[in-house]
Amino acid sequence: MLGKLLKYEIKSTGRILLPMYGATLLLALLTRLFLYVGSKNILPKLFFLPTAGVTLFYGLAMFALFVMVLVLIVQRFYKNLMGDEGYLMFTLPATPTHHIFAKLITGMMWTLASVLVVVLSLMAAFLDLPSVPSIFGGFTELLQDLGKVPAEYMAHGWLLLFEWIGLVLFGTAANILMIYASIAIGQLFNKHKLLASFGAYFGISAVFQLLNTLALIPLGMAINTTHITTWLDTFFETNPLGILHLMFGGCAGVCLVLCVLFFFTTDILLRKRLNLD
Amino acid sequence: MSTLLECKNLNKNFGAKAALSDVNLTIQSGRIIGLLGPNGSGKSTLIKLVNGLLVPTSGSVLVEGSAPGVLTKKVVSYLPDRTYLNDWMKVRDLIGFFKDFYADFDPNKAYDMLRRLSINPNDNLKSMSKGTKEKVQLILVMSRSARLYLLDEPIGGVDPAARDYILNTIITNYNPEASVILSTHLIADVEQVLDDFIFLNGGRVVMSAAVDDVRENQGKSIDALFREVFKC
Repeated sequence: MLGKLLKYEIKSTGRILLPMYGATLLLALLTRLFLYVGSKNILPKLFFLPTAGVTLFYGLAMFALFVMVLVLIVQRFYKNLMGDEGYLMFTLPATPTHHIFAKLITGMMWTLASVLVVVLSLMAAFLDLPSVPSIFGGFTELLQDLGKVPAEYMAHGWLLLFEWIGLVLFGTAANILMIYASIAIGQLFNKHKLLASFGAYFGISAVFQLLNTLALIPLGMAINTTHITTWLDTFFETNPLGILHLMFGGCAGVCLVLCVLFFFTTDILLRKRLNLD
Repeated sequence: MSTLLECKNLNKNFGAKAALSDVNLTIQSGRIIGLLGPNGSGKSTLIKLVNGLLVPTSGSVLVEGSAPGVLTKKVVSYLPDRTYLNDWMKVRDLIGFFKDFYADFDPNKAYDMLRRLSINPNDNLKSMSKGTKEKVQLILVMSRSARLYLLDEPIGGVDPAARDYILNTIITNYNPEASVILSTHLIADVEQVLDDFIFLNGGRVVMSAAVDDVRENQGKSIDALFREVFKC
């Protein structure tokens, strides 16, 4: 069931995003072409105007890409599940959990794909081709150097890499799930569901801001007491990479907790309190 | 005959307003039932509760013994009172969609009905009139061999010729083990296809009986009875 839902989810978002990816890459290549022709000094000085224009459109295309991904994440949940289309989606033999995962996976996929497309397009527009071999050379050297790193530090490196991947994945998921949870809360209202969803979103943000601040107070107080500072000092002296693990691993952990919290809020509300008007 | 749908002490409130109050119903298989009542009497609310699009405030809804969920959605075919199809798909894509999700959907049946109503399967939903969209929806819903069909205002927006074809489809297209509940206020049009009727008013069931009983015992049509019961 999840597979079928994913198929239609990707179809209905891809038909908008794939042409935008194409346009972004095309504009990147055009930017490269204009910059190249301009650098040859064979055309009048005023040629910088169309060059600036193309570059500007390329910049706007990259911006529009991320805005569109966000719009689609909101719209696919709000319109496709809570709007008239929800009458079809919620009468399919699927559970709310299936719907949430289909939309979450698709949303994460497009977010990461958009980052990839932007990186590729930047390379297409600005990468200095003659320098490519030396960049690759640098990579090979780096890999060789990595081989010389003591096994103990390599283990830290791998762990950090996993923590970083976890942070990216759980961070993206938490942001998307917070939107879903807000919409699921907003639909409980019999009137002004969209407004209520926005209210829920800002409400959740405010609560987490507050919790953040409240958490910092005891932390600040703790750091002022001497034996904790001494303990921290020895900790970081004996584990120089500890602070990095704390940063990446800790944040990834917090994001995972948020994911679970937002997922269950959404799932339970859609399961027990669905209120389509 | 077996029990398809059972509502027990069903209540649904929206805020302080009661949309359904203490509804008790039992629907057997093999019947065509008219859910009749004036605007705002709770017809759509009842149908939405059976589909799980709303959750009861109290009481229960059971379809073949189960509360609305994956099991019941496999056997219930629902036509809502609005367009629930996205407008970027072609009719052909929608048939693929229904085939993917409903094991009991028969694409040949759908294509056959499309031909009869001269609707091109390669047309976009976006370019269709409201009435044509309604016909497409009804075709999709009736091309399933479900056990319970819930049709909310199935003939409201279509012309009289299509109306006859649709009613004919409803009575000939489903299997004898299935039941059809259709809600409408166009009673005269549907009266001849109904086996039973339910009158809803202000969220309460005010009368439910077999159509033939009313005709034989009271010598009245359902349309006449409706005008009498709901006299303003």
